[in-house]
Amino acid sequence: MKVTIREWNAVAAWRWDMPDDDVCGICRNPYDSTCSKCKFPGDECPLLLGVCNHSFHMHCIFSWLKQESSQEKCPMCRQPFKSKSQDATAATDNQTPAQAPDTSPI
Amino acid sequence: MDHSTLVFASVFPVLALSHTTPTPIATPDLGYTAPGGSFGSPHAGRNVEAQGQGQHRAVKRGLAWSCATRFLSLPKNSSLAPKPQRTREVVEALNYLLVGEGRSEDGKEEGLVQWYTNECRLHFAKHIRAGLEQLWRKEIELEHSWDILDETQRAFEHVQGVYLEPFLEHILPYLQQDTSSSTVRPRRPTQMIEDSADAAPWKFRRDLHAIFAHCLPSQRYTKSLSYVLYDAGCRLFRIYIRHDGIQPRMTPENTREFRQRMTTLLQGLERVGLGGDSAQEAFAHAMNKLLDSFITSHYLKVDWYSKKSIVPHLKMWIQDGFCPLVELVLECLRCEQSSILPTEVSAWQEMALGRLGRARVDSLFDFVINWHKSLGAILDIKEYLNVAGAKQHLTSSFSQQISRRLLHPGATSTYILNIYISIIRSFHELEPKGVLLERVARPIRRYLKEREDTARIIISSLLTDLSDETGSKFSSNSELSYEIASEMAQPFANYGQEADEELNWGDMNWQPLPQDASPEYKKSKVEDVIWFLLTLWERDDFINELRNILGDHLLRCQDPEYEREIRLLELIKLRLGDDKMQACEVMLRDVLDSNRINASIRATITSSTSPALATPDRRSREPQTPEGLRPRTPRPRRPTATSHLAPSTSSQVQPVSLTLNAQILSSFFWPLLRDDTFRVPAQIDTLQKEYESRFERIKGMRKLRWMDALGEGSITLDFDDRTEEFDRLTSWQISVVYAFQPQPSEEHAAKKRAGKGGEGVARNVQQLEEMLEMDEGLVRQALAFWVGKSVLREVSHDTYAVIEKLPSKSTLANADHEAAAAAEELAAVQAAETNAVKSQSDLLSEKKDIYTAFIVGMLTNQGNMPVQRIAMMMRMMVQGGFPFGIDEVKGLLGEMEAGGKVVGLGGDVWGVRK
Repeated sequence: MKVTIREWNAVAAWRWDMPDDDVCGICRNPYDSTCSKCKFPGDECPLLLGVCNHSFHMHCIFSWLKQESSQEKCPMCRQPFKSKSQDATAATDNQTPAQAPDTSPI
Repeated sequence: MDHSTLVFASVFPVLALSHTTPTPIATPDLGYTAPGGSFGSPHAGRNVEAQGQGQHRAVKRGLAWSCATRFLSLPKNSSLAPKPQRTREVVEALNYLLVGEGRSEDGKEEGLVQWYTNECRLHFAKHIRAGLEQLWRKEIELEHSWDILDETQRAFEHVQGVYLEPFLEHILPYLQQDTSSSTVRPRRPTQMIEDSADAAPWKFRRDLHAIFAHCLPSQRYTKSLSYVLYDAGCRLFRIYIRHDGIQPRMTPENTREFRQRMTTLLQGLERVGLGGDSAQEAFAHAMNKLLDSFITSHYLKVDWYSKKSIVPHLKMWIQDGFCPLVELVLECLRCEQSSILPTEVSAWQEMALGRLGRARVDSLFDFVINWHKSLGAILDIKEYLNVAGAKQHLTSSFSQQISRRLLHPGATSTYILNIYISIIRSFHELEPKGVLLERVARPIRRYLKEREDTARIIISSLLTDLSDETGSKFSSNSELSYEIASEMAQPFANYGQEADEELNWGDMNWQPLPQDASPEYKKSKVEDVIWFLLTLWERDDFINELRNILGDHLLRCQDPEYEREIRLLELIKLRLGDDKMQACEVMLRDVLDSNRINASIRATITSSTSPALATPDRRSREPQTPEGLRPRTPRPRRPTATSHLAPSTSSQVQPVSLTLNAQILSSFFWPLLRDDTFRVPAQIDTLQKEYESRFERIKGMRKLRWMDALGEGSITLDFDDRTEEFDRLTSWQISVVYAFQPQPSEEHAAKKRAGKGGEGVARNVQQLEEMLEMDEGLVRQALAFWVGKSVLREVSHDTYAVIEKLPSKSTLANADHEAAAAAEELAAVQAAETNAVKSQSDLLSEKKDIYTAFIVGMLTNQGNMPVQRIAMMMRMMVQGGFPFGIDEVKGLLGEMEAGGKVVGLGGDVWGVRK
């Protein structure tokens, strides 16, 4: 007997490449969830990893950094917050033309 | 005559006691003369002034009295014997006694009229009464009542004739003669009629009638008469369901004749004085029952076809059928009021409506079941609701029917839901404001909420497409409700304006809430069935349930556009508000986005074609469209190219292209999914790895985790003698059958074996478990499936082999066939049990170890505890929450007790076994 597979529909779940059961330090939602303002996780609500190795939902950390009192410091370790450069590449990667326009990060 | 009677009579003159029999002619008996009294009657003398003139008058009166009474006395037999001629003597006597000086004066002496009345009374008592009493002594049987009444009426009439004749002939003329000459006494103007001559016959008759009426047992008489009238009414209106249980004759009777008979009887009864109050009472009784019977017999039928209310017809009958009969009878009975007022007519109509309504309400449940055909009956009830007290009656009666016939374990949830929908629809017709519905539906809603499968049924029905396979899906015990599905199919009305209407000051059509509404009454759009279903639960519970069901559904769904799902979600958002719906929206977005991701990843694969991994996409031969824009079939679940593969030869020659489509889920928002892991076929594994790496390259910082158990695929099996195709199999089924392919090392052996019995590679369960790293349960399930498809055969216990050549020998074929049938059944059952989404019980059994350890630890540290406390502690302390209740905890404890870990101390308290 020979088995030929003609078609295969698989199911997979994505996760952020982060340790399990860790939450965003600002909104306290799991990374896999969204920040408190977003509706859809993933592309629309990406994570941002700082040089200090603290990561947050992008929207969360942006709104934090906008505040005067934050002094552009990481809320966890109080070091100046800079996103890791690799993240920048990832962000540009997100905007490859293969991506439909409506899923690109805001 | 005993002493006491005499004493009584001496104070209160009793006519019957003082009645004198006429004195014989030869020896005139002048009675006895009391000292200072006179002849005539025993009392005559008592009050007479003892004067000479008085004496003289008394003697004369005595003579005339005896003469007149002798003349007037009635014969023994009641036949109308020719009376002796009036002699001059008699005439004089009568004249003297009635109008002359011998007339009784204001009751001091007995008058001749009084005497005659008394005579009649005695005569009646002696000769007639016995016969009548005989007639009426026993219970009157219904069918004899007509005859007995007739007979009685005749007897009375005859007797009355006998009594009246002498009175009219010999007494009345004198009185009339007198009145014409006398003057009206001014002393008693009001009672003047008693004294006048006109009053005399009236009084006489009244006395007679009193005698007659007195001799009949009044209740029995009323009953019989009432029955007779009822019977008459029944016959006149051709009623065939009667209270008395008499079956009507098949041939219609001559109603005219019958009416005649009834009129004659009634008129006769009236003539003999039996038509008074008691007759009217009887008549009222009869009409009361008649109304009931008429409604039961003529109006309880429901017009299933024309769907019209019968109330107008009933009202017409009251006016044109019932009223004339009443009028006729009243006329016969000569009541004071013989015409019927319009207010009475409307009162009767209302009464009839009330009865009709009550009868209808009794079977309201049946009408609801048969909605929409029962519209006529519902409209009747709608009319009935205007009657006072109708709403209360309807609510209580219908609630009773519901609890008796619907809300019991024997009814499936689907059935209850369907009925509930019928109730919503029919009550909308009944009372558009929805107050009744709200009251009636409360127990149903409460009950539905308790059932576990309600939400599942509702949501999966909402997601069902009406058009396909309608017949098979909606069988009576299926999990899908046709009603809900068809409700969903209706056009999408705009229910959006949720704004508080009470605060809309500009609303010119504003109406106050119905006065009988309960506090939590909301002005609902009653006709919106789905709204009712969606508001059964608290929103959060419902949305949770929705998430589970939708998750399962999306994974199975075959429509690449997910139209129904989008529609459902929009609909629910409209009605329940769109907060809290995030998870569902994310799930939907996931499956929709997966198409795009698939396309873009496939694009990268094809562009960097590595021939070993991805053979050219067979779709590349089709006119190329940009992958992202392909609208209808971006990810065809049904292979579009089956026709290419159908001829087995071509499929072998052509390298079969294999595409991997993946659904990428945002696991956080999906319900817990099955995550059994096992080895998928190597080919797939490579593809998945490839896919994964490309995905990770596109979406930085993200990992994929394959959920092997949820995959599905289509395969072609090439046997020695046949080729079979299977579509949409689960991944583990494919994996198992894939494992039956000969390994490179076995190739040789397989070839050898193939000769005998047509069997190919054989493997046993344990081997498979090891090869695939798969759960035994899944392995067995898949094996059962393949045996069912006649692909595998169980050659020895737990060992299965491929059927390379279908057996031609009949015995073997039969055995295969039977085994296949049995296995197919088993597989079907098992398949029904497998769900993509983990159920609560799966979750419980999965985490059982954690829970048991927790319980043991807790009981060891803190001593014995009651179940409630254990459950509470677990809810608070267990990592990741404990979504179960006391029952589950009890179950767990039971199992642990069986395992010897804990021990029940009674009264729900548990402790560690020492």
